[in-house]
Amino acid sequence: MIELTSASATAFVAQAVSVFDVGDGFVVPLLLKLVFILAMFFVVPILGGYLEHKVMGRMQDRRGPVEAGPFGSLQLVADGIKFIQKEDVIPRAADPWVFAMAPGVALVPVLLVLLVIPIGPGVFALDLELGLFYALAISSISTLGILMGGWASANKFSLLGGLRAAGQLIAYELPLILAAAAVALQAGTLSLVGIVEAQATFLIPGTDINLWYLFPQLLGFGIFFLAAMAELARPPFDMPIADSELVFGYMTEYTGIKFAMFLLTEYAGMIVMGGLIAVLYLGGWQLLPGVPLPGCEGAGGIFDCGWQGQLLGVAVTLGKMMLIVFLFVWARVTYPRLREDQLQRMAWLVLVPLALLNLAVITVAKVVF
Amino acid sequence: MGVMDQIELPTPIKYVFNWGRKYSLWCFNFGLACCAIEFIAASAARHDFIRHGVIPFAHGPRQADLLVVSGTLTDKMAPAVKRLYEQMPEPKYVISFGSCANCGGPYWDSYSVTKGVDQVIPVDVYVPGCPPRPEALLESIMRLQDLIQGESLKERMERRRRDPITLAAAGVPERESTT
Amino acid sequence: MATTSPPGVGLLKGLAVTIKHVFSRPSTQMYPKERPDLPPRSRGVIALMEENCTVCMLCARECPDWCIYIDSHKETVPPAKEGGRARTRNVLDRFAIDFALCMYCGICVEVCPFDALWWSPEFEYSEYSMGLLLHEKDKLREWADTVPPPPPLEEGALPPAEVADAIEKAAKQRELAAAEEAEAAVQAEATTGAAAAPAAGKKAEPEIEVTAGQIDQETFDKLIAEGKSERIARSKAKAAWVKKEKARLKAEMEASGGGEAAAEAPAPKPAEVHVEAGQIDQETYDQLIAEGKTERMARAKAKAAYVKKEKARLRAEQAAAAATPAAGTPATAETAEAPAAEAPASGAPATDAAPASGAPAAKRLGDVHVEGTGEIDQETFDRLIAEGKSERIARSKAKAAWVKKRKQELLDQEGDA
Repeated sequence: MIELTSASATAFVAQAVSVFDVGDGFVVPLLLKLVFILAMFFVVPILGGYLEHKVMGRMQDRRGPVEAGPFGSLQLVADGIKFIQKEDVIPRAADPWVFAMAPGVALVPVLLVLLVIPIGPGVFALDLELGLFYALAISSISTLGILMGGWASANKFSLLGGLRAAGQLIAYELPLILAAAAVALQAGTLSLVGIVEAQATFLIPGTDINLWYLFPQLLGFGIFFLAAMAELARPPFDMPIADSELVFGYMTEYTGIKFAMFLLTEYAGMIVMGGLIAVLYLGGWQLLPGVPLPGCEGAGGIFDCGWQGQLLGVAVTLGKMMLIVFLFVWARVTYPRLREDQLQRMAWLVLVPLALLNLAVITVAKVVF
Repeated sequence: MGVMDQIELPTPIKYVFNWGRKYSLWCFNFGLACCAIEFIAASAARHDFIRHGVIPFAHGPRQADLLVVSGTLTDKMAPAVKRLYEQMPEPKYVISFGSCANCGGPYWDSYSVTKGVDQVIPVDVYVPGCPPRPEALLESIMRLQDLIQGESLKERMERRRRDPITLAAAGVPERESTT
Repeated sequence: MATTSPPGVGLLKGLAVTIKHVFSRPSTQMYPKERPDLPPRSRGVIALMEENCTVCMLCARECPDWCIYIDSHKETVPPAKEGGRARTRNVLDRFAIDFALCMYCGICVEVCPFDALWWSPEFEYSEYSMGLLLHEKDKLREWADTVPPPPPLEEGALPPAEVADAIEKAAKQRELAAAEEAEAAVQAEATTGAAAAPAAGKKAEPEIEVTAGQIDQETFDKLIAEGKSERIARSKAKAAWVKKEKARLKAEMEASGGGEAAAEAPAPKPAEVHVEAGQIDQETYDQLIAEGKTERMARAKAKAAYVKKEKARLRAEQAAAAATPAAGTPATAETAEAPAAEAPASGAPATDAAPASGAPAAKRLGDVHVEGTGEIDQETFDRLIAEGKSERIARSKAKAAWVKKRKQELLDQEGDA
């Protein structure tokens, strides 16, 4: 472990304690954490998907799902049940092993990133000292799964889609990491819990007004948001699955449960990105800047909470995630798809220089204040 | 798939599975003529069949559950329909939308028109009209959902294996009152 | 680029548009719960009113898709009256429309002469099997229950022909009743034994004018049989009727005091005995055919002959019964049409006498401007036709007469003011 926190001016409580670490045993906390991660993995994306259906419907003057479950809330559950029953088609020319592994390779990194995202005071599975680094590093493995799927399908559309995805994800990884680096620089830590805490204790220099990083790093937030949208291949950055050009991109040949895994990757990815943005820029589970959660003590009033504070914290984080999902959907409904060259030009000629500028400004500010 | 069409599932599981299939009909539109416009109208804001779980997101046949053949199927196009239908994974459903798709319609006497899409692929629901209203498509979708909710996947697949082209009318649920 | 705005404004505008729609009411119609608002003439399904079907096969023959199937058999109907002919008629066995094939063009509904086929806006009849889309007679009859009433006419629209006919018929009957009353009053006056015969004669003259709408059926039939146009025939027949009536009344007046004679011929009778011109006089027909005339000609003449004979018979009957006129004969389009044609003219006669007397007014007539709207003075027209002028001349003169009358009316009004 690289000791980066020592340079931080803020007092960082080393290694926050997870609520799931009950007792001294190994098995019970592990099971609890697994349940937590799987719940996050299956339930929250369904919430996000439902939100997308409904918001997209309303923005298009429609109503979205209505019949499946109350107000159509079980639409994605129905989708899931159906995908289980579908025939599993493997094209004869496909490489069966790579073809079968690709959705898993795309899916598992998202699952792993969920490990380190804190969604409430103490509500997280792991608090890695290198949490941010871990999250960004692991999530780029998804690209590999997509590329595998595109290659193994033995379909020209799949291959083109896979290559487009690889190009796009590599291009946007850079502004994403540069923007996140500025946050880490300002917080003085790579731990996601540490970043939340740093935001809770960050004061505007010369005053005692607490602010989230959204405000000093507005530019960084914009870059991170755009890059995240492109990483997820959400419209208007959905060139890898551009349906008017590439049928369904790298997913063209996937059916049934494997296709569902790709879909889940996309929706869970939205949740993960939403969680990262909430943690990096929106103060984590803080309700408002400078307002401690009820029943909480500790730095900035966000740690050492009772169960009410924990529940409220979880609700706040989920709300922020959904807000980000809403923004994704809003952009999706509003804008048409970019062209491939426009996409690359935007990454390399706009976002990367801006991200570097952002990083430089934050560095100078950090030194000055 | 695989196991699920080999064994008769217990009723509660069957109910849940049928419910899932019923409300998740990813729809692949095979628009061939003017009927396709009515289909598009049904997918747009005013009629919005996503309400019923019919999701027009299936970009390709591999992800689709429901094939809506809307329009005049010519003999030249018939192999394409057949091929796309075969690319869809089981269980899959077909709605024949409009007179042309039903049996050739006004072109029943033409040298180049296939006399109904059911000459090529099995059809579950026939929608009359020239073209049918968008609401008629919604009604046929609800009729298809009744069929899905009441069916046994095992029986369906056995029937399919026995007779790959035509779906026998046996085993379809009673018509409900339309009023 | 006509308008330039700072970069990014367009992007924000786009976002504003979409977010606005989140808070507006969706335009979705919740179909199964909410019924679509269908136009009354929408083409959902074709309904059959079996009772109206005469198995004429027009629909099946006109159907571009040949999707109508009709089977029938013939039945013999015994004659309605003794001595009549037995008739055959078709009885519907099967009427089926294949809605899988139907292209919903509506030609069958258009051509059906007996209103047996109707559009119903119902559209919910998709099926699991295509065979079930073949709707048989009973199913089509069920659809007939869903046929909505026709939408109300637009403001100021002409009523449908059959409604107009019915209204006119009713109006005519009322007119007849009024005329009869008037006749009765005249009779009463006559029977009281007014001594001044010439004065009564003069008085009787306008009485005849009022009922100038009647035509002499005989003349009419004759002219029609001669191949004249209907309009000419009617005009001439009217003239003939007026002439006859005048002669009759004159004779009555001369006989003076012969009240019983006047009672014999009430004015409205000739119209009342109008007979449906559907049948032909077999004798005449046979005779004409034997003479080598074409079938068409023979039939037309035979029809006229039939009407004539029938009329004579009915009159005889009426005279014998001397009771209220037989109202049983159904009024055809012709009887209903006659008053319609006269409607514009009926307003005119009141001022008829004026132009003759108004010599000084003639000078002033030129000052008043009246535009000829193409209307003609029916009286003048009738008179000229009766005088044997050509139709063209008669019409143009009648038009001029109308304009003149109109001017006179206006002048009179001015004078009154």
